[in-house]
Amino acid sequence: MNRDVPLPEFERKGEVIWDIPVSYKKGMRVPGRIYASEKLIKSMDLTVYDQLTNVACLPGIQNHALCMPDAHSGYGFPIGGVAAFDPDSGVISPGGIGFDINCGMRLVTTNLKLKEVMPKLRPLVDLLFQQVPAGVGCKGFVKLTATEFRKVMEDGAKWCVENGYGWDEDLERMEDYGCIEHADQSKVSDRAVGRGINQLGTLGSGNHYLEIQQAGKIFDKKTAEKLGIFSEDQICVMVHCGSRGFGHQVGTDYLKLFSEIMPKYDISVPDRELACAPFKSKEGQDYFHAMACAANAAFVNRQVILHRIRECFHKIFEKKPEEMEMHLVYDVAHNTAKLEEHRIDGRMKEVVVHRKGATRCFGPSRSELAPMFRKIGQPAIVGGSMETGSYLLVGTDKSLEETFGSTAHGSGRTMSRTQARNEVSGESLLKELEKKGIYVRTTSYSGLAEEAGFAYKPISEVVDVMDVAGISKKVVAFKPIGNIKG
Amino acid sequence: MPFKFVEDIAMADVAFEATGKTLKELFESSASAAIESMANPKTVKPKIKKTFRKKAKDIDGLLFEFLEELIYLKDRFAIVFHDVKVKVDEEKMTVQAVITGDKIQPEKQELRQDVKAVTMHYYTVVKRKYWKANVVLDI
Repeated sequence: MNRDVPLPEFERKGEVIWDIPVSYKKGMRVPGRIYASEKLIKSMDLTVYDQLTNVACLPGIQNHALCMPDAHSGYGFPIGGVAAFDPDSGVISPGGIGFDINCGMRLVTTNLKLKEVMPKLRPLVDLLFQQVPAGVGCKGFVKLTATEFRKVMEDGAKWCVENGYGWDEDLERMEDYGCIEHADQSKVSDRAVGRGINQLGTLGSGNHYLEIQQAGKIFDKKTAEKLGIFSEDQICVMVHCGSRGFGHQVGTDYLKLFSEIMPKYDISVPDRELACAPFKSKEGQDYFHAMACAANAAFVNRQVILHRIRECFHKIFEKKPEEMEMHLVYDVAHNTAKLEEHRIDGRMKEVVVHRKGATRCFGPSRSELAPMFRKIGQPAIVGGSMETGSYLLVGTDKSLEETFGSTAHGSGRTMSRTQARNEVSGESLLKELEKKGIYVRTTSYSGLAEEAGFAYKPISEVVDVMDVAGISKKVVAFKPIGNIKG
Repeated sequence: MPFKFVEDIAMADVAFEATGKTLKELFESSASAAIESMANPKTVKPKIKKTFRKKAKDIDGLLFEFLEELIYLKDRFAIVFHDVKVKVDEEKMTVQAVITGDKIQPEKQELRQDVKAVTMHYYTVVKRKYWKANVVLDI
């Protein structure tokens, strides 16, 4: 992975903050800044430094190009990257968001205890595997015409609630209430609609999953209770997926367009995957509005999946979802660009914050949060590998001062997919997981092997870094007991 | 001419290097890498046939458009692929492709990864003694 990248001479700015000065690379406009423990930064692949400092060269970048502790090399921007751009002099880049626009996490509570669920775990996971399609090119049950689909992309998750796929309370428990209002379907190609129209309510593959979890350890009892988690044997459900083929095509369409138009705006980039356009240009605005449609598609996708989860629990446990207190805790996006106000050079100004594999974690002071979160901060859900568990965090006001209100999104890979496959077969991993008490269903054994726990950093080290930095605080750690892997 | 998956490029994604004495060979070996990433073609029957034509300004763009179409077709028709044959016209900068495959059936096929996109990360198409392409697919 290291491809002739020189090791930077870091300037250590705090226990877990490492800066790469602008002298590292010609053209850097701001320093790079990485949040990591000494152990994590030593094990980070060097391409991250190259990609982070490439981002630091982009026009209009503000303060620092940032990397979260789960960072690993991506395409263009590193995964785990955060960068904010001045809307007048800066750019918007599909490579700073990822093809899976609004890939994100969703956490749902139940009032069921481990001992009630264990006897029915296999039929529950089997039913979920049947009802929430996963894997290559999978199709969902929601049938819409192209015109209806385009309207849904503008309406976001409220369409789901209006059509029986959710509860009214679900909406305030989603980032942006499950709808980015500037979505404009006229900026989306027919090709994108054609690719995604049959995929609502599906997981996809890669590192996407639906997981039955036990609330393993509660770090902050008061906050956990406000979020609906009361005991360490309580069962929750976590979902990780995004905007499916629709979002992937929006990303592809605009990556191609931006590659062509960069000379017109006199922009050159060191990696073609950093293709970008001035934020205020017609092309930049078109992408911003199309990307919002894809972000809404992801909210809808995860909401339809929540509806299916509630149906499956109802069938298996023969109780109403309301009776099982199947409340949405929160739905967070970790692949987006948003116009947000942040403090730059001592004054508040609007900036275009790109988060690629990074979670928004606003502190309690932000008015964007629904009233119920204005005393505790935005919940941030950090998904680990299917072996090591996941975390629920809350954002702090300090994150607003340091990371544009952003934290980590997952464990972060340390091993390529091929290497992971060479280490273990999907079939033997499945048996190993079962011995550990985790029942897994998958459509792809090779895909399962690629997601083995040893291919990722230890998630506890990742969330500890952000806790030590005061960016996001640990609330609950979850242990997997059942997993559907795409 | 062959292709090989390359480990050292993209940690979370799939990178491959495809080669060909001719453009036809380059396109077909690139297609083989892409379709093998999605499903084992030996487990996919050639029950469905689709044809498409793509045009671009240069070879670099033409290969990108061609591979991107395979990924689009996978989602649009929920299919995986058995084989791809092409005719490349370098003068007109067009590719004519015939693909065979089948509807996705997890119980009958060895499915692999749901490729999201062709990226431009380290993307190159060059001709020296023979044609060579480096491609990273987003997973």
